[in-house]
Amino acid sequence: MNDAITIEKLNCGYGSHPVLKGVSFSIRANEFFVIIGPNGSGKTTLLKAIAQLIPSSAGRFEIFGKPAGKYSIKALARTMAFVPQENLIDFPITVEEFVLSGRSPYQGILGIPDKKDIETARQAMEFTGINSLAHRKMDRLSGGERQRAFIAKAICQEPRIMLLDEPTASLDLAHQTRIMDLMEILQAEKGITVVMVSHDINLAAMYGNTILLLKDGRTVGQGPSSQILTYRILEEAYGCTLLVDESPLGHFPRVTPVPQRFKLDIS
Amino acid sequence: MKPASPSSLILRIFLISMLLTVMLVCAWIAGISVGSSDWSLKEIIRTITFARNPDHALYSIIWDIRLPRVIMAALLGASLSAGGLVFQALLRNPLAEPYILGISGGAAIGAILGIMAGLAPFPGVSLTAFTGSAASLLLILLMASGSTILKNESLLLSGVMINAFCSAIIMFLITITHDSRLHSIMFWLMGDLSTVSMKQVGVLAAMVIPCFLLLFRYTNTMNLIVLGKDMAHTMGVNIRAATFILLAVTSFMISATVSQCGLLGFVGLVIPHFFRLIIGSDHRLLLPACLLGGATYLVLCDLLARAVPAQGELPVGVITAMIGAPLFVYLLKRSAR
Repeated sequence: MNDAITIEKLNCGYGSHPVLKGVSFSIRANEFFVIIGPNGSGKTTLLKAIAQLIPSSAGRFEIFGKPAGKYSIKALARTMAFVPQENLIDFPITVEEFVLSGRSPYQGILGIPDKKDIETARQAMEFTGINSLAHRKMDRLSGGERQRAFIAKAICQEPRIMLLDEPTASLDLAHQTRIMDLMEILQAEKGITVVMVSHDINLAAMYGNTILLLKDGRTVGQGPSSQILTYRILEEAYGCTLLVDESPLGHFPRVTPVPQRFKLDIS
Repeated sequence: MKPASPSSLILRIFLISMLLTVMLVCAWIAGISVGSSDWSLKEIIRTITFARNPDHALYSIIWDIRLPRVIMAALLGASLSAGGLVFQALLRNPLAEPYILGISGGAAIGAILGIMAGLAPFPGVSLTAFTGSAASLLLILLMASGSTILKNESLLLSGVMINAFCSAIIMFLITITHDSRLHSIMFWLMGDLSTVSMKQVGVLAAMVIPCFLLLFRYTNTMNLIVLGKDMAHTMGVNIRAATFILLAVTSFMISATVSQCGLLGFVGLVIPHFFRLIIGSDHRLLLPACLLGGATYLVLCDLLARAVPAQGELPVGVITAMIGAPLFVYLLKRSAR
């Protein structure tokens, strides 16, 4: 059983408005899987459907070979962790309390932490480099710090799959790379399957093993970046002129959007 | 702050509860000692503890009037504060208070109708008030039964609408009332503790204490709910079930409370914020703190209501709001810094 997630003919929508129209794909265990697509293509909806946050219907929906519906909510929380795009917290909870709350799927009803819980939280904070922020309040952190706290909390859940919704949106370049590097280390060293929604095609190309391109709630293509990130496929999906060449860093594509004033020269 | 250790949480819950219990007992003693007739503390303690003499005047003052009253104040304070705490977490809105979903409106209509019909405060008016609040409670649960339950804004707006509609009816009822019953209505609307019997205390205790215990079971769930409903769900909380239970239990508890004492304001808003500022936002600590602290606060407010010279005495709701509102503004200013 090599697949972390197998989905066939997934339909999902809000009310009578369908967002995903028969999406099929599979995610191999321990791969870095990136979902891309234009605005409104259903990326976030797909991620939430995988996390079982919104109801969906599918011909087949398995997580590690077991039908998703057979997981209890707690078992699901021990298998998948979710890092949402909107990560503001209005209540003055400390970073340490927040990270420790990631242990709750393993705890009793009152969530009294044991030694292992506290050690796991400490390691997660060390791993994400937020040790020094342990006693700061979550509502007083910068965007990058908060994102790392959310990832530390997700690590505490000891998941086999980590779902992230645009974790690098609104972060500067240094923080973007830092978050992506963290995810790559998690994937390589802890064997976690990373499933990420991203707006940034170049980050997807640099880090993703497999890219899933969505448009209008349907799969346009799934495969390694060299197959999916071609200008033919991308221009069709995004409806704009793009320049695709090879990144100076290695054998993966680099995508540059072409501004209007250059377009006449090219044609 | 010390690093967390496995036992420290339980120890902190225990210490906070002990400290606040001591404060509550002190407030109780003060509440029993103060009244319109003066007795020494020594005599009072003797009357409560061993030297029971049913013929003594002090005996009946304490057992029939003051003791029920301070226990009642404690139960009300505890339940209103806990109700505020739960609604603030559930609706993820720091401005939420126990009456926010419209329970108070239904209770008030019931109570006013009871008073207009000339019923005794207990059990008559309490029963009509409880019937009224149960009607609003039913309405709330009905509204929340669909997908609305996970949408805070729609739940809040529905509550505001129930309250607005009820206020209109209350105003209408007040307008057509002329005699001395108007005075009773005003007292009920302000929250009043002047007619409390031991029987009434027993009824309320039997209704709200099981709710306190049930809520404690959900304190860690509340910790996860304040992180956001999606977060809570992906961390193993059955969010739909938890929301429904918390909503139902808290609304029932508040219904029982308002039907006994009228609309005591501000306790449920101020006390949870006060403790959030002092001990943080862990609900496993906050719930016991709010229960005991809210109890102490209301016992002391009631004490003031009786001590302040007035014609007769002040409704305790006047005191809770007079102290509560400025305190709240102060806390808000402080937390904004």
